[in-house]
Amino acid sequence: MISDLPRVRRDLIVKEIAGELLVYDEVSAKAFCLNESAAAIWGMCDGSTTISEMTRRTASWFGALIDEDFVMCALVRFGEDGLLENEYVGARPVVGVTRAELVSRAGRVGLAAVAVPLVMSIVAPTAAKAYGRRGDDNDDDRNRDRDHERDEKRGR
Amino acid sequence: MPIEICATEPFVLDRVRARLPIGTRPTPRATDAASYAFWKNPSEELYALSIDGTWLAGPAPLDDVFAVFEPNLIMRIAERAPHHTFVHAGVVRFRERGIMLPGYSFAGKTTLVAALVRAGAIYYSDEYAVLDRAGFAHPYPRPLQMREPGGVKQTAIPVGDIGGIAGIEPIKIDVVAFCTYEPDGRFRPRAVTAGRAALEMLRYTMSARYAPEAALDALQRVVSSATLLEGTRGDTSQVIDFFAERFSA
Repeated sequence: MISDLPRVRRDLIVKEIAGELLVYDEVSAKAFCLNESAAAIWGMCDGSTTISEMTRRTASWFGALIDEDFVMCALVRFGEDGLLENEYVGARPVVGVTRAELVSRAGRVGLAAVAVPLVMSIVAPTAAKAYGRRGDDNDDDRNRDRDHERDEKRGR
Repeated sequence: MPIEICATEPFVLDRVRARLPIGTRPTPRATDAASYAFWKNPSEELYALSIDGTWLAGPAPLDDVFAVFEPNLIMRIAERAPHHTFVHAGVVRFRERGIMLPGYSFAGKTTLVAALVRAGAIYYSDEYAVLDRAGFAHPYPRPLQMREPGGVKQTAIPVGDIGGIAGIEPIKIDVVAFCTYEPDGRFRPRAVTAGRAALEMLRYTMSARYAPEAALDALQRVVSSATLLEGTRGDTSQVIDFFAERFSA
């Protein structure tokens, strides 16, 4: 369930890099990379912008017929990863749309697949893991793979 | 970053002095120093090691205790250095361009760095990219830790022994290349976005948890102005040829 007025947590470390966002959560020790469209939606999660308004603005930016699922795709990820302050407040049902479906839909409205919101994440390594061999960080790899492939698996 | 090292046997300190990391210098005693202590068992030729009063190694022969001490010390410095961010990566300057090659141990970093040095690159490190807040890489020119193919045991080779020289000045990183070795690989790297490259570099950053904000600042500086590539490689000559062609254009 996602709030109608989602707001991102204020205790996160956020860095903007060429339109993308790097977000670090010290509580979970996880780092996230949001592509440009996910970053744009993140920027509207101020606790006063409705999901409908986010959808309208996003469609305006991309100049394409985008529906609410496009925004929800990002918000669901933010919520699942614990990045929202109020994900359970004023809740609405989450539509089970997958990123793969959105990529397909984006093609139909003339939108590049890369414009579909994407959130990648890793578990920040301890010093020993940062130094270690590949394969010592199975949790990280599993997490990364999940980010790349989860939606495709869901869609099957 | 102050480190205190004490020992019950003076010769142990002589051995410590000979193995301190690059850039170590004496400082006045500091109250916030991490404190390593070597203890000799009075009845046997066995030693123990503690840090800040917590057991770390031994009782064991001194060589075994040092095998724990040296990586622990370097890892501690790399994790907690107050003004620098240590990324597990090789760094060279090749044809006036700074190249950073992040990767885990046993990923082929030293092999690639050594090949680049033999091809004329200036050596900065086969182990750590030591980044300042501006994103410049400082030299960390320890002897290259070469392994026989498939082996584990390392041999320290001074860069001069392979015909190279070590860098002195900090350099801007112009290229970050995530290279994965595959015996039959062909090096045809593809571009990576800046955000994704920073996320990947964080995977190799020693202070990712200890000082995430400073680490992200340093990585942000690097990826903001560097060319960012990833790909599999076979023989090192593929990578050298790629960069030689790219940098001659």
